[in-house]
Amino acid sequence: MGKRFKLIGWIAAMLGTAVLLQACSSGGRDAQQAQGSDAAGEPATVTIGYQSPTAQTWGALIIKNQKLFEKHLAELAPGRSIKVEWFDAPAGSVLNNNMNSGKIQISFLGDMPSLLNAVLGMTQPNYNSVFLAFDGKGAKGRNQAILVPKDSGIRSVADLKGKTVSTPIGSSSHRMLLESLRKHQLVDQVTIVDQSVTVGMQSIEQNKIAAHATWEPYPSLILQRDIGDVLQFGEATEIDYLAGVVANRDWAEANKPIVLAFLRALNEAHTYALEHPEETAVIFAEESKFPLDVCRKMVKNIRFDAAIYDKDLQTLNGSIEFLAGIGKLAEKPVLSEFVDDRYLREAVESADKGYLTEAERQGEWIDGKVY
Amino acid sequence: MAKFIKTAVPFRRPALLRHYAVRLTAIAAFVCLWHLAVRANLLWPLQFGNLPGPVDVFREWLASLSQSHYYRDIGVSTLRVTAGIALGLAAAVPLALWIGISRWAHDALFTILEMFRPIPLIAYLPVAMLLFYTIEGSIVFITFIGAFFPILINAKDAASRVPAAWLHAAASLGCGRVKALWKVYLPAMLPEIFTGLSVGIAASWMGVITGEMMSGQSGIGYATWQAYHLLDYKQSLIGMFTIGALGYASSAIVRLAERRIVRWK
Repeated sequence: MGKRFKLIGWIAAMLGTAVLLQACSSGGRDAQQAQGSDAAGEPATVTIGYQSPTAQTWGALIIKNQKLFEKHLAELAPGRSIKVEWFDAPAGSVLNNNMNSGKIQISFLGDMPSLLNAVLGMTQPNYNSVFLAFDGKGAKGRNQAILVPKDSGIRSVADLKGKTVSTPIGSSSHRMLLESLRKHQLVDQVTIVDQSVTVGMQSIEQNKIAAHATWEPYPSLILQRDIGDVLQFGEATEIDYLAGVVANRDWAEANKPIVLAFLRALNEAHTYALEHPEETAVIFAEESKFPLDVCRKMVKNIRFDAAIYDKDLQTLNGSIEFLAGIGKLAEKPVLSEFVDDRYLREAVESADKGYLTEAERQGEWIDGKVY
Repeated sequence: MAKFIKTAVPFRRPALLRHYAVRLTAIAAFVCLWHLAVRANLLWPLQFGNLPGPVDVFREWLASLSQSHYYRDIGVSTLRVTAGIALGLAAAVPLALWIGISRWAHDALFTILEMFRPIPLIAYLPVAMLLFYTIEGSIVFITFIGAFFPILINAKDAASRVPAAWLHAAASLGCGRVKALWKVYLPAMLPEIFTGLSVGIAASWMGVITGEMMSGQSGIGYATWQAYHLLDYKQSLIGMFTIGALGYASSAIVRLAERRIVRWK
């Protein structure tokens, strides 16, 4: 009797599981569809990941707000019904995890998360990644800062000796912090702990940590609200701070017109930011919910430029060395394989604009010329 | 009698062995299925192919076992959870007793507590950060919240169900009202307190990642969280399994304690 009940129980459990999986799978198949087979006329969804807590990825906000992607899709992929969805994430890691599982096709990422995305492409069986373009750039480390609580008595980096400082481990700010400490020979005398930008902000506000290294818009927000002070701006390290756009490589290869439309939209957004700073600030404020004054500062301080200069690749190589040095890389990405500027070139040329010449690409960022 | 025990014991052994055999086989089957799903790169109905395989995970786990920071993380988290549970127990039992006995306390307190109960632990994070002077305090507070409500609810129900006849009997034997709390109410509530405790301990472990998201450097929850952020899926799984094992071990300790203390059950 008992055995029979057990058997019935097993069968019921199996059936239950099967039904559950079936239910899930319909969602799963939608996701597969979203990856977009390119049969014309078939509805496909493209999901773009961005991060409202990272100002250097705010090129996305212009595209989203002005519907630039849709505009260029209509030109480059006419007749295809493509739905554009936006996914706001609190951190690059969330986007990376979603890209790996096929839920997001294009993401705006800071330099470190984009390199981790490259590693995912190398280590995961079902994911390959490609770096398409840059978004926001911070010259010499601009748009990052080490913050201290109000009236904390810490006036220079040297005062951090023996103290505990927080930053998101493995981020650009972490690199900036280590670099600053190295300049003062303090690397071994400061305890670095991991805190997200939001937890870090709260810790500064409540004086729970000696200092916090972070990126815009938080330093400006802290100053505007007068709840903390800037100990040092990122420029002290003279290392450019970069954010870029990464895509699922297999998807990109299968959907080239969509990628080109996206890059044209990115290009238009960057030109818009340069030519209409006030309107851009309003868009930033509306989309990110950060105060307008802070957003104005972001438009002024961030160079929104998709172009991939050789010196940017050198900066990324330095970041690879940094991540490997702190033991956070399973494998070292090879930039010549990860970064592919052919899409960007083609997109720029299809919009009747000339891309950087060989000589320009090897030089410094060109003032007033953005892609 | 002696003869009965002699024959009884050999009967129990094979049964016990069989139970353990089934348990081990179930775990082995789970690991096998996992291995096969990953190796076959199964992508439908779920994308198992994206997970790291058990062999890789166990190999890395083995490597973690020889690293001191792994044990430090476990130790730190265990301390935090234990502190949360101890505080939860100390706060929930007297409160439950009061709410269970007094209609007034029920009306005044229970409504408020019921409003706080359904709030997910992660939603307490900003409040925890604001309330406490140290980050450590905030973390323990999160584990405390996890343990507090299950113990409170179970113990409160038990307290309100103590039969009046027992109290009358105790009173007629000369037991005062205060003494009755110790001698009648608490023993009557004990089984439910333990039930609440074993639920609460699991909830407290569930809160450990939420709490340790703030910690910044130590704890098994932090290690799991950081592995997720750095896309180290093997370490994420190791963290998950470690928390699972620790939770299982703590529940086992609670059950053992229950068998020792609540002998009449």
